[in-house]
Amino acid sequence: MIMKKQERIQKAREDVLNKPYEAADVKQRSLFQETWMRFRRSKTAMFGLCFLLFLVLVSITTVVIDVVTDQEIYNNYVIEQDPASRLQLPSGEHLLGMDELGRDILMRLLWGARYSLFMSLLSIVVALLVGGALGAIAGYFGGKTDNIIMRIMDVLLSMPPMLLALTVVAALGTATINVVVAVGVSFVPSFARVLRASVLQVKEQEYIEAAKAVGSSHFRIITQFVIPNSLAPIIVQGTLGVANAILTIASLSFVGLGVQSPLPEWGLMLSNARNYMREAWHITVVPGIAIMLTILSLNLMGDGLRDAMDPKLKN
Amino acid sequence: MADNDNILEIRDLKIVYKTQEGVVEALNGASLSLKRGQTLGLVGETGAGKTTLARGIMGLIPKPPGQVVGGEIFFNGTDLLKASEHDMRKVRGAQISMIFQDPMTSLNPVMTVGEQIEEVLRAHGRSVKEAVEGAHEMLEMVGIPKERAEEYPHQFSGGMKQRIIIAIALACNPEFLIADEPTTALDVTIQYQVLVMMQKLKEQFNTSMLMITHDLGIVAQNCDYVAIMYAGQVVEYGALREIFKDPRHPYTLGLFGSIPSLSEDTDRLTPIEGMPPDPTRLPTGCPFHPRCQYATEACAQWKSEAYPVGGEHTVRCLRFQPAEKREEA
Repeated sequence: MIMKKQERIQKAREDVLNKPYEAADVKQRSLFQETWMRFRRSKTAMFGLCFLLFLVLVSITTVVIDVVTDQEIYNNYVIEQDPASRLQLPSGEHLLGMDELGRDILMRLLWGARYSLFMSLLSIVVALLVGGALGAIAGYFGGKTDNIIMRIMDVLLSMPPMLLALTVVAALGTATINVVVAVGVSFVPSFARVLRASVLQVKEQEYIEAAKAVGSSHFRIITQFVIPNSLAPIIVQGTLGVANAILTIASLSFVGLGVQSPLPEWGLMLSNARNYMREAWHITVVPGIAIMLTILSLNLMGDGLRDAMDPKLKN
Repeated sequence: MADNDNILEIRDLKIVYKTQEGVVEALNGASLSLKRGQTLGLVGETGAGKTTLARGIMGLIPKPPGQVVGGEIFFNGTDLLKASEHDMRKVRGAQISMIFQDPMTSLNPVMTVGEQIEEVLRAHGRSVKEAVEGAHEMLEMVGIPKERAEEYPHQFSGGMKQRIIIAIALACNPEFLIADEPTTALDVTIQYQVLVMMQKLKEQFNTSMLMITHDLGIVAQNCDYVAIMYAGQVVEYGALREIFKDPRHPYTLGLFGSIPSLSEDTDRLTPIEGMPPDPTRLPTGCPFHPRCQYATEACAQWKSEAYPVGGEHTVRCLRFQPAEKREEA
């Protein structure tokens, strides 16, 4: 009787183990693909993305043109002044009119796209790397480390970002790279906070304990387990941050501490135009709308990303 | 020194959690031992300290609030509580590994399952190529085609995730495996598959295992030894047959009394009266005495200790105190 039972168990075991594996009929999609699928559904987010891609394209094209023609077009059409046609209203020849020094506004806008876009992107990348690393370390280790890092961040946060950026530029000088650093520094604390908060949440997950249980080092746990799982909020924050950075860079240019004349930076164009507002409406409105559209696109895209990455809104 | 036959020997382990509500005595002098190649079933109610014991062995007690306040954990003759964090990291995953309770949350959602198996191998000094090969081999061993190594955890079912977790746990061929309620989150048919597979792999790798569960049926099927836990103590320990045929401790009797039996016809089961004690205010003496039908006044003053009752069977209950000791007192 006992033997029989043993045999029966043995047979059942073999049945289970030899059962052919049946592939589950799940569509294979990575997290990235799923996010993209949901992102695509939002029309406003797609508008934002398209506009930004257009800007990137414009920036790259103008840079390529500069390189190929050895800045000939840049010199002749973007910074070359023509006093005879100053403040000309939009016409067939100059689609967006001429500015206060007789330069084609459309050309200046196209050539200026790169400053707003790449300076802001670069400063956000700097802020993400520094702020992200600090936030991740603070959140993961907790205790004293957390306290020291976050109190420094609190000090930075207690200053208005614009004032902080102004101080850095005033101290370092007005070179383009200094503007990037200044704007970057002013965004570090908010990114550190956001990442720390999501790290605190992820750190309690069971898979982190599981990773510790297999003997992974702290470095690998942070880079392979904690950060990838905490990224969603900071990606959204980063996208919205780019919009803020564009605004800060434009503001710095507006008060004369950012990009210097005659570079066609949008904020600078707006600043120079403000004296002529009464005589020629278009020279303030056009760069203003360009800045607004860019920021709107970034915000729409940020919102779309947040919705697409929120697991609660899946399907 | 520890007995050489025993891969694991825990003596009088005390672990507390210091919270604002008071000191939670999660482990209150737990002792047990496990022979090489055998499986020990650790049974007890929720909150009896089973998971704390497992975490204590792994050195993964969250500090603060957790703190090991006493005792020894001998693994292969060395005291793990005295090992440095650096040494413990080499032990974890390579010599002792752990299967977690909930397969749904124990895998990193943004990493492919292949990479997660490779992670263990990489953490213990294998090259990238060896790790990839090892991961594929382990997947095949738990019955998942290696082509699926590129997929993410959310593309697998619960049972398959638990298989992947088992693959991760066994990837470095550890000597000792802790399974913390490995099948609680699975439905019964998948439970069976997973248990059969664990048993097979355990025999194949000659691994010793600590199986934490509150299902006595699983214990009867899979374990060689049984330890019954109550309020942070191992109240009864012995070979499977000794415990199932001849349970002695009133709590163990109560546990068996509350399972429906196939052979006897009863209308009502007999549950254990009362509730498990508040771990911040454990009763004096025997922690079970307020619920025990055999309790006497002496139970509240008794200094808890384990008494042998034949074979390897030991019981922590005043009723089994040997006569000579009773005279001393």
